[in-house]
Amino acid sequence: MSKADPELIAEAERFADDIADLLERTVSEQPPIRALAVEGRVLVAPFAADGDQREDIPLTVQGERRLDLRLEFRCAWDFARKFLAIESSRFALKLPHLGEPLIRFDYLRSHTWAPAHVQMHAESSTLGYLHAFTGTVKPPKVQALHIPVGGRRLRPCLEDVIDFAIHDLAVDARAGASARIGEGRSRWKRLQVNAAIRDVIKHDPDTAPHELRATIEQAVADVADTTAAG
Amino acid sequence: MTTRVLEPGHDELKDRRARLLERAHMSREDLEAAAAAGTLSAEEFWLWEDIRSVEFLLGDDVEG
Repeated sequence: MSKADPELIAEAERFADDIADLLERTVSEQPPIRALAVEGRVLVAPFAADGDQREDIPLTVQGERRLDLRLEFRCAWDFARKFLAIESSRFALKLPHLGEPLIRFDYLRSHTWAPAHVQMHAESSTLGYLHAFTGTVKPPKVQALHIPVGGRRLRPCLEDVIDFAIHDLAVDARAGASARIGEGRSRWKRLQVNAAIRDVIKHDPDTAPHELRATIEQAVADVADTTAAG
Repeated sequence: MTTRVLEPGHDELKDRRARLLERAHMSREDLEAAAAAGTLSAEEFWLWEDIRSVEFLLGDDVEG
């Protein structure tokens, strides 16, 4: 068996540390986040210490465990071998013990239709009506719908899912959670913008750099004007 | 290697996949068909997800 590239291991460790820090500073205590690395592939998720058994992150509401957060990232080097690219990410909020999901936030990089989507587990009489009268829509289960969210670059990040759990599901948050979510989201946005710029240049190396430079120069000038006026 | 990063071998991962399939009481093909049809129970669904994660590490996955 060939071992994983040491640089990949270092990246995997940085990424796993960041996810653990996010969880620890928002909704969890000592989340068992680990990275499993095999050759060029990395799986980041909560695991028991030996890496064999998957675990969920328990979330509390008014001190009682009411939800579990299941999460995982499947990663590999990006095309330039400079960044750990996310091949897929899966976040789900589910009931403890029973395991029934409430909502899932999935990203599947290889999918052409809705690579980033939300699946809500619920019943809908409206969907049932459509199904009965058209026979063309999917079965009347809301979870069968892949609701597109933000595409590859602007998809929800883990910070968004945690924020959703805190704000809409009353999950207990640790002191300073909001600031940590804001920091993570800001870093995520920056990373995604950088990645989007690389995408644009990769697809149009002749004219895209000039257009992007002009856009950046304009944005710098606009911000300078706003700052001077303020 | 740190405690945060683990490097399981292929044999270890194949064993893990076999154990997960055993817990599902279904063949991989049946699990895949049931997943596509949306008829898996919650427990089977998460087992199926675990199996696909192992297959990702093994390089046997289809969609990443």
